[in-house]
Amino acid sequence: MRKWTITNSLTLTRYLTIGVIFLCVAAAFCIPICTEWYDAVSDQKPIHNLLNVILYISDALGLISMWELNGMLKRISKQEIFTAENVKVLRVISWCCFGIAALSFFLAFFRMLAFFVGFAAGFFGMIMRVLKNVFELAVEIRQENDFTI
Amino acid sequence: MPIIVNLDVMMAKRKISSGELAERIEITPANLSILKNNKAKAIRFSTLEAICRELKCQPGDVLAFEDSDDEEE
Repeated sequence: MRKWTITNSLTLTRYLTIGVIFLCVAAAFCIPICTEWYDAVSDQKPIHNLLNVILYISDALGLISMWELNGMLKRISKQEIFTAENVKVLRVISWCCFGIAALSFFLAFFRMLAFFVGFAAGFFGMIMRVLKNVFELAVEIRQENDFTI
Repeated sequence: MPIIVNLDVMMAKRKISSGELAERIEITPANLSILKNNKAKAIRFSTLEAICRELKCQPGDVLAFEDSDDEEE
């Protein structure tokens, strides 16, 4: 049986990230069809135009997050872990999550279910923010360690 | 940082090159350069001990404190 190493884990994560990037791109083509279908099956007031706008913006934010995450994983595989670039990536991802959360909370005025999506996105954004702060401190500690002779 | 490393002064006094000192105190020339150019954030006691041993001096001969009013930190 093949031994499960950190390199294999990183490779798997990168493949998954690339998979999600393709899913985001594919979702962009399906959004109008899905929203029209949703309006057809829903007995509430039609909101497919608003849904289209919100889903397209969310899709773009998701795509940005995944793209940045892929770059970060690439750097991690080159042993560049605690770097300023990775801190920037985590900051970008957290802001993308907050953006999706804000959009979902707005959508919650029309469809209550979106509130839970917003809450999840906001919570994830908060976790990313904490992780970003940890990375920022780690970069400082690493620099101090590098410059201790 | 108000701590100044006067390593180059002591090296000139003892007529020793950077490469030779780096070899004697067992650090890389790149790290010695960081130390000489005051870019280091800290110095290990073991490194200081080796420098003092090889240059036959006291820590105060290598390190100095300079209080500057215009410091931003």
